[in-house]
Amino acid sequence: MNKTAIIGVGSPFGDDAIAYHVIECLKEESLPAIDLHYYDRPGWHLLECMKPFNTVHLVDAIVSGSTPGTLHRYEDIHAFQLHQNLLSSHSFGLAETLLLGEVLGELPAKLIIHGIEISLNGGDINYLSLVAQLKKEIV
Amino acid sequence: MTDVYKDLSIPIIARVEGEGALHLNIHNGEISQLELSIYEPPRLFEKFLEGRSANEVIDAVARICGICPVAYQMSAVQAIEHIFEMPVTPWVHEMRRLFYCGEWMESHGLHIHMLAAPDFLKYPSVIAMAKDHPEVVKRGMHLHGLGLKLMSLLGKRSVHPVGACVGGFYAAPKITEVQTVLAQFKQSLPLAEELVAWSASLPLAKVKQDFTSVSLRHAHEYPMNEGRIVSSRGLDIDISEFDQYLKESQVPYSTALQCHLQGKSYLVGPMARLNLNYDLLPKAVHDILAHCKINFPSQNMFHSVIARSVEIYYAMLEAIRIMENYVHTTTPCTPMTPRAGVGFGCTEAPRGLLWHRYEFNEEGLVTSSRIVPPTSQNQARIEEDLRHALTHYGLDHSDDDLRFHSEIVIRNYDPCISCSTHFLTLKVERA
Repeated sequence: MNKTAIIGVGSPFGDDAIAYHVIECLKEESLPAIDLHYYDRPGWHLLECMKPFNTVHLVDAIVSGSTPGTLHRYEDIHAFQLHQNLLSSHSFGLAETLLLGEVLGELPAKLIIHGIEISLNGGDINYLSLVAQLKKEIV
Repeated sequence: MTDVYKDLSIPIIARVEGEGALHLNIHNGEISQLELSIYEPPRLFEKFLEGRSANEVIDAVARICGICPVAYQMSAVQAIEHIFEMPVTPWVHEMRRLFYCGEWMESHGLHIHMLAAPDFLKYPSVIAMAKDHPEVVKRGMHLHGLGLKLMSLLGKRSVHPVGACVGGFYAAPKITEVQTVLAQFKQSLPLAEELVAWSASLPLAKVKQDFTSVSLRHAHEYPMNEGRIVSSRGLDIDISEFDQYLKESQVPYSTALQCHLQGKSYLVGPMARLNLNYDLLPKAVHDILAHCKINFPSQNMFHSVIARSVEIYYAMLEAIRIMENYVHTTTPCTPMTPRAGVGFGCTEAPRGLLWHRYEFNEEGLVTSSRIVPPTSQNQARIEEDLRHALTHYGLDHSDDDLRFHSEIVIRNYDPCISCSTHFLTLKVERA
């Protein structure tokens, strides 16, 4: 049986809280047969969290220079820039975790990463429109 | 004879928690200067805590470290309960121990597999190591994950947990929740036994050093939340006497204070704990170490990785014992009555002794606080080890080789620069 999850990752505070807010909004929506989870900076533990699912939609904040609120979709885990040096477990981010998962053969069969553009200088993001767009992409 | 100088600098030490640097000056084939510099800015937590109420302190100190928040919370509650003259119920005592088991598993699991093992197996990172040793990494991730589950069980979340409070916990876990985690622990116990055997089989250097171990010591339990401060050279003091014997001082090249015991460096952490409390470990741990032909006390600093593995195994045994005896309670917390006074807390963080001192006023607010984390206490010992290890390794090696070897030595201590304020950039001067 195909099990699907939408998993938000990141701090629940500051600009990085976008994934937390999106998952909270999605809980108000009717999304049949889709599990909703949020993890605060899980590091490599994300791989354990994704294990029960065949399909995982990961939601995370992203900074690429686009307009805040822009939704980016990635199906290639190599699309992200790795930290140059793994200076600490603090720098073991999403890109490193997904690469480790690929090496270990521990990634879900289908993995889509939804990156939500945030502004490091703050700025309003229309959550309702964002959630509607994300729901359309996923369901 | 012409003087020969060499100056080597490591600007950022890799695979440690936080940012630091090492400056090494070599003169005529001998180390003339060695400075471990922690250059992260001071984090000022002790000042932030002034004017805060007791439970605000417990939530705030959890933010000092993303890896060992439980330790900060446990040292703080102990100090505050000391001031408020609050008894600790047997239920709370056991749950705090269970909480700590989770953090040891989480912190040690991360350090062994992500930060230290690539050194011993000669890989640049855990990702590169995972290609050849996938089962080792999977085992590490699984044990680390079990630790997080325990932290979440009592802390309600594993990152900066919020479940602990002065007097105990805000809520008692349901029996069904405990039973679910207990079943996972029982099923995974053989993995921890494998981990100890695996760490004992690593190609570790056989170098003995003369150092003093310092840890808590409790009359009948392996130390986590309680005990007297003891050393391998006969120190045996109450935690309130810490300041009289263990002196902090500032060095000009580091934002973190260093700490000395009667003027000399000392070691805190899993190996110091094991060196001073081996007899308090259960027979199962003694048997596995005997089988692996590893003896504690040990003066080989590289046995630290084995000590961490042993503590993961012990934490699992202890967690199973506590969860098997778990009873639910409707009073997970003793009510507090704030009062003025001075109190001390000292518990065994994954990286070693974590000492707190608080002073509260009549309104129940903090008027002053002091926090001495384990990495500050280990700094002078790391510098001493580096002098010994680099001289033994050979100072005529290339700068890159010296840099790599220095990092291995430093990483072996699992320094948390984020806690101590935070760590390696190597600068070597040879001329």
